[in-house]
Amino acid sequence: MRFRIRYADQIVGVFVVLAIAFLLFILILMGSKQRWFTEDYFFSTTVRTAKGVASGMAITLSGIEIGKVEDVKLDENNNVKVDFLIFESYYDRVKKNSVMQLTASGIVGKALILHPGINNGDPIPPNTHIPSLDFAEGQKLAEKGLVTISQTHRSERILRILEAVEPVMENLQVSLVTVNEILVTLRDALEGDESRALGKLIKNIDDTVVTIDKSLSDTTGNANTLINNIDEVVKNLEELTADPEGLVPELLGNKGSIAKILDDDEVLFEEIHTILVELRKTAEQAREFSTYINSTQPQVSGILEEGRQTLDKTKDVLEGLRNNPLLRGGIPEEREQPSTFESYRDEDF
Amino acid sequence: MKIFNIQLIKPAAAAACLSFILIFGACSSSPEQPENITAVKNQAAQYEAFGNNYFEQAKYQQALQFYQQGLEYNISVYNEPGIVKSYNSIARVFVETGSTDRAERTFLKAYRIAKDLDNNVLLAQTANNLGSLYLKTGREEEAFELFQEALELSEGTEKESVEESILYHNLGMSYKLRGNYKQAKLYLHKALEKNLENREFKEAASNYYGLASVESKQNRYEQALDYARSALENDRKMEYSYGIAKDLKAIGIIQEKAGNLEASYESLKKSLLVFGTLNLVEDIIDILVRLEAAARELGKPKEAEEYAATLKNIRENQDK
Repeated sequence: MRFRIRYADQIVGVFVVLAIAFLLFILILMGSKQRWFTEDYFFSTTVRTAKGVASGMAITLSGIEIGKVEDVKLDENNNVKVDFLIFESYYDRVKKNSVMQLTASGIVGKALILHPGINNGDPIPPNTHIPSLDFAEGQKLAEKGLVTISQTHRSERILRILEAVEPVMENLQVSLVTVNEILVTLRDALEGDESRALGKLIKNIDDTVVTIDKSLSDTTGNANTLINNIDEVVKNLEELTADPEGLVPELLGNKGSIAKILDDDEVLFEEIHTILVELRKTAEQAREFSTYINSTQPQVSGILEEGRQTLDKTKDVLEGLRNNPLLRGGIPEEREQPSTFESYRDEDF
Repeated sequence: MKIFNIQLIKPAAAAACLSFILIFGACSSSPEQPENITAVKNQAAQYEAFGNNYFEQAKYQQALQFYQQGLEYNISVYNEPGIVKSYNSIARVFVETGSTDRAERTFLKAYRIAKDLDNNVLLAQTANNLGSLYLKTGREEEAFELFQEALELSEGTEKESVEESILYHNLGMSYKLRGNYKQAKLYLHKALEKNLENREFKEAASNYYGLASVESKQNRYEQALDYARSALENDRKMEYSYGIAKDLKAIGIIQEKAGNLEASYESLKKSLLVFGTLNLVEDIIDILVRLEAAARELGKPKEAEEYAATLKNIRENQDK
């Protein structure tokens, strides 16, 4: 589809520039959020097990994330070497004599915690190995009091476990009481105690069987009576038709009721005639309606064709809108009527 | 990595607002009021276009309905150029459905109105259409005069060259019927050149078809077959079913004349299939007659019987 676009080049240019600027802005925002423009400091430590340790895991200090685990691998002594980074803003906390501790976090989680060394010196240089409390080197530093190990995380963990265990115990107690009640009920029901639902049910079934038996014997009696009555009706009908002066000849004979109905001064005939006239009128109306429908057929076809083409056009316009949002002018004022004009093909070969 | 961040939503929303302002600011608020009301004329033009669609599919009854509706609309606002075009379209349906007398009367109505209007383009179109009818009904002299008149009228008009090429084609066909094959080929080639240049492939197919008929008339069957195949290729390109059916039939006729009966038979069968989808009874009958004869000649009595039975069945239905 063709559209007229005012200042198309300029507007497209502005949009391109705006789009690029916006993209850059978003990239910068994302970068700053992802710390693309800050420096990280890399260290390593060694722990006994890699269970719960993975790349991307947070390094914490007092519960705050200060770095991330970069890599986890086995060292030559089959211990686990963890490479990690510390964010620039927390690098000054990594003092001499600092130790790492791999500890449980929550019921199943793990956390890698930095315990800073106690001194006012400069931070240790990057790529230094920091001992962990899993090994003697780190434990000695803790025993000497060169590093402060907070016990808070340990007591908190025990408390959390106890908190989690309490509702489990309560639920278990409730379940045991319920099971006990069920067992008592089942025993009573099996012993035939009618105050229990199962006992009542069994008694009801017994009563129902007795009732069904009684109903069946009553029904058989009624059916026999009915058959006897039908036999009598058939006998009466035979007598009625056998009598030459009976009811049937009375109805169908020359002076019968049906003849009397037909000999009614053409009242019935008139009614039938009226019905036929009405029918003819209805047929005439149907014919007129059919003519009208036929005459409107081109319009109906036109409307249908228009509908189809409108859908096609709408699709085109939507496509145009998608590709060219800056429309102006729209549909031409007057459409040229197409000419029917083509080359002649004869079959004279 | 967190990509969606609450801090990013604010700038994104601001940019979206800015985009909307730019889009709506760039668009004009509302179109200017037109000086003339053209709704009825546009409706007529639309019906004419619908009719043309059906005409190309050889669905002449549906085409006629739309053309007549278009004519009514044009008459209701007395849009004379539109009336001329509608009459032309209606008359062409009459030509295709064999009502040649009605076709001639309708073309003449259109011709008179175009003459009163002193509109050379419409006069040329009508003269061309009337000339085609005369060619079809064997009035070659009148047709030739009309095509020449149309060509003179169209010179100097601003219409597209496709109309000029149609006139060249028809003039070429007129020369062919007069036996002047040299002039016929000259005009057909002129038309073909223009049509290929303008990528008017359906018209180019007509030119190839015409050239095939001229070559066949001169017993140059290889050339004729080449042209007929080019016509088929172009009609296929345009998905013009009626043209495809006629091209296949032409190939069948030329092969028959060249003595290739088996090839002729196969091409005619293909043509029958296409005509069958168009439900064009007269063309189907013509092909069935040819196929029956070809089958007998090729020693295929069973197939010949089948064609004869089908033919009988169609004719009986026609009589009913």
